[in-house]
Amino acid sequence: MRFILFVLLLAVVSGALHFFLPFLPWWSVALFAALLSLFVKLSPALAFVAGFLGAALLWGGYAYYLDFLNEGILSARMGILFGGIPGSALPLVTAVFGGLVAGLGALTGSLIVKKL
Amino acid sequence: MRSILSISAALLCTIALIVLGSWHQPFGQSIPPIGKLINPFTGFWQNAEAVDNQHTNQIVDLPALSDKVEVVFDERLVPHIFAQNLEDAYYVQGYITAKYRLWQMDISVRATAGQLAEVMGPRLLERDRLQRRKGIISAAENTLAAWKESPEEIAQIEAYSAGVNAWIDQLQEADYPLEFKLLNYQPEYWSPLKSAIFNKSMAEALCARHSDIPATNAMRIFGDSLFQFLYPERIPTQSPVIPDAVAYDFETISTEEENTSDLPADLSSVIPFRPFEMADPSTGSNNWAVDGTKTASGYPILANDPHLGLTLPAIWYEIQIQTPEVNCYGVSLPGLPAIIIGFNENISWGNTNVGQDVLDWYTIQWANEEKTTYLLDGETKEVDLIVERIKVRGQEDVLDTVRYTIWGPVVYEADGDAYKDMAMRWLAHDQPDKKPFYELAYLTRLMGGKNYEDYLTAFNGYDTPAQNFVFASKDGDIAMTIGGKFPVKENQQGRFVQDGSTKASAWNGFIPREQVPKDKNPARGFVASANQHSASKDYPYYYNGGFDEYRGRYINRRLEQMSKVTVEDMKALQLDNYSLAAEEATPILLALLDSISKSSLEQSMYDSLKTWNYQFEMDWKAPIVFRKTMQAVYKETFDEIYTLADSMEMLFPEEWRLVDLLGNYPSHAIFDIQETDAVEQAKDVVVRCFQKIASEMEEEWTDPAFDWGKYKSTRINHLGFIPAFGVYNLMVGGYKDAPNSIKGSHGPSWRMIVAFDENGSKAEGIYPGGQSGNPGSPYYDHTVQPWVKGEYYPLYLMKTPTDWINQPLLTQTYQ
Repeated sequence: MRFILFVLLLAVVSGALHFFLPFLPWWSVALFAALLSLFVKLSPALAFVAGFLGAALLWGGYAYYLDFLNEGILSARMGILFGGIPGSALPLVTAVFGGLVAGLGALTGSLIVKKL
Repeated sequence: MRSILSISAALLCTIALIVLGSWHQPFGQSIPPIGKLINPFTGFWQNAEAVDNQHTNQIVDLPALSDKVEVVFDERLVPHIFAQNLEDAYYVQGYITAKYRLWQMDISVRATAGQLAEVMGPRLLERDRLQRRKGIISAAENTLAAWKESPEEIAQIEAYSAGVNAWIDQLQEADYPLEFKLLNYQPEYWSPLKSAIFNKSMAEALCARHSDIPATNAMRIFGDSLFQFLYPERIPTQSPVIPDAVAYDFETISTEEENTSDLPADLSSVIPFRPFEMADPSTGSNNWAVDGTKTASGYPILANDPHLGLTLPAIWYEIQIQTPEVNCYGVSLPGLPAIIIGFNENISWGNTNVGQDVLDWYTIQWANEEKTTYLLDGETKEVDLIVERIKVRGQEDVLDTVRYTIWGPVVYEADGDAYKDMAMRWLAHDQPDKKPFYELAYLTRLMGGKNYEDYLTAFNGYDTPAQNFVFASKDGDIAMTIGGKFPVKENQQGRFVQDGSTKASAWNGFIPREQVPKDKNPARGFVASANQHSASKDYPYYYNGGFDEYRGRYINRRLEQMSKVTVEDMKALQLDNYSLAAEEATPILLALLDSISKSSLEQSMYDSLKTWNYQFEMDWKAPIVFRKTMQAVYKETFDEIYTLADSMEMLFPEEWRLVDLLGNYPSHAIFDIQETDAVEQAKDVVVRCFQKIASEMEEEWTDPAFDWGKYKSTRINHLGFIPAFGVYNLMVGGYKDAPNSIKGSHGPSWRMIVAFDENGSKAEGIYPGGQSGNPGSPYYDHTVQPWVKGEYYPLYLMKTPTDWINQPLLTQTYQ
């Protein structure tokens, strides 16, 4: 339950903050994940997975949505720059990248909580 | 302890990933900061525009406007601006142009001013240094100083700039054009100086060609008589822009009679400098107008297709501007207010480039070792030192001292005393003469022009780059004017490097404006230009430079033959792939190949040439045979020059000269191939080349997919050469000498045809690309394929904001 709460809270709160504070740096999701793990306590392994999934959901979901509205025009071009991958794979790459950053942030936070 | 270790490890990994993801060009790789780029909130995904054709209305708050401005974006995203005064109109033009083309504006100015290293790093330093040495920024400052003399114009130029900045002001990082994100830098504010620098970028593209250095070397090596034989200044069959029928009966400015074809005495060795890279010599343009006696409608038709480098985003931005003074539609240049080529309901105008040489080189005789004084007519003169500060990304600023002489900046400096340094005399450096008005008012006058008088008056404000301005009006007039400022030169002056130690080498003033060649309502019923010589040999001033004759001769011949001309005929002529060069050269090649015995492949290639109609159609093979054979024959004929060119800069003869030599001087010594013992003549060279081409093409000849379109490989590169953002392998015909002069990444950058009738004007046009500069927009490259197919779009000169035919994409009210 806490796991799901973590995932959803990270996705929703981080997304909302980006929306209202457009100057937030791209890595703020890692900071939110770390902060969130101070309040929603999970084991370090689960915290990593939850952080990963929460950010992946947000980044991948938003990228997929933008790609869908754009009918893949830009992702096809950017895919070439990303080493020739198909544009349709780019939302997934985006999700994994966001997931890793946030997962590591959540892991760090949960390790600190454990120590305290 | 273990927990501290694991916390540190996790924290370190997190920070490492964040640092890596924010790192510009990590480990020296040209990779953007990946986390910044890929995050969907501020990265590239934000440039993925929704493909959504639902019409929307927007109200935009722009407090600087003096009145309400309405803008209608039609179905191709062309803005139609309805303003109450010109300042508001140009303000909104700046705002909208920035919205769709901001990175293009930024990078064009950086490339011209020499400010690329600041954002792209040290590998652009030498390019920047050259741009500084060319004195571009000081040239722009001179022009801006003149613009400031005209209060109305400078206010409009400032309004445009303020409009651009109003757009930049409301930008969030997420909204930055994609290229800013890829190159990881921020947009900078616009300024009137940047508009002036952009103006110089056009001068650089169109009137900075020069061959003084290679010509001087060629003259030194070959001597006067062989030089003049290989490099004649005029093709005898020329058909100039202003026809021979026009008489020139005016008092000319006298030039002192002295033989300047003699090289300066101190040029005792060949010149070691390589001329800097210049705009492609074969970029040309066409324009013409036919009057009512030649058209089916009885009203004039005007056509223009300026040929420039084809890029995405395109150099042009389509726009309509309406105020109480003007109602005009046409193409603008992102970076400058107003419309450059266009039409209103009364008149239309268009441009092609004039090839006259307005950039000359002068040797400098230094009077001291520090190179701060130089000799001029026996006296020492001080240089003006301008220290250029070049910003380099990731490094300290680089300072370069540029020396300005009375001729201009010293661009070429030799190590030690090996050779004299050279200064550049360029018309575009000059502060414009004091005039009642300048470039912007010239355009505004054309935009609101009603008749021939308005068109003629407008030129009083125009200096560089000189253009062949075609004109047509609803009331039936057609005209052509060689518009711009031209130096008065002695015979042969400016063909070679000149002695900069005496004022006697200077230009002899400028051709008075009323004496430039022009033509109005000629008896032949049309005016036309295609970058050929401006006037007949009778024109009393010396004209030299790079002129392109084949297209002009062909277009004049075609227009001469035509009658009851329609818009469709004009389209056909713009899209015509016929080459006069091929028409003249092919029979000569065939005659020389006629009697030899041929393999079946050679016979088949020979037959393809024999049955060819000289059209460079994309799905034919004969154009390949012609092109490859002519290139090979050129190389073998002028092999002497190629050998010399390995060690110095050499001038190469024009292609028509080769055709002339093949036909009329087949046993000339130039045809002897150096690497063989035999003494070759034209026939030997042609046979040898033809056989070589045949052996090279053995496989391709039988491949049905291999044709002219594939061979010539037409492409439109992204302006920043990002491969994923260009379009490649366009299947399209055309040839450099054909009216449809598409080659490589050059060609008709805007095709426009304006037909007048009793109600006003009707126009069609197209450029390859799209109104949006964003590679993530459906309007980025959507007109490329229609352009390839030779299609045109109707251009709506709207009367009111509600006067649209197809549902607009967007309407905006600015207030």
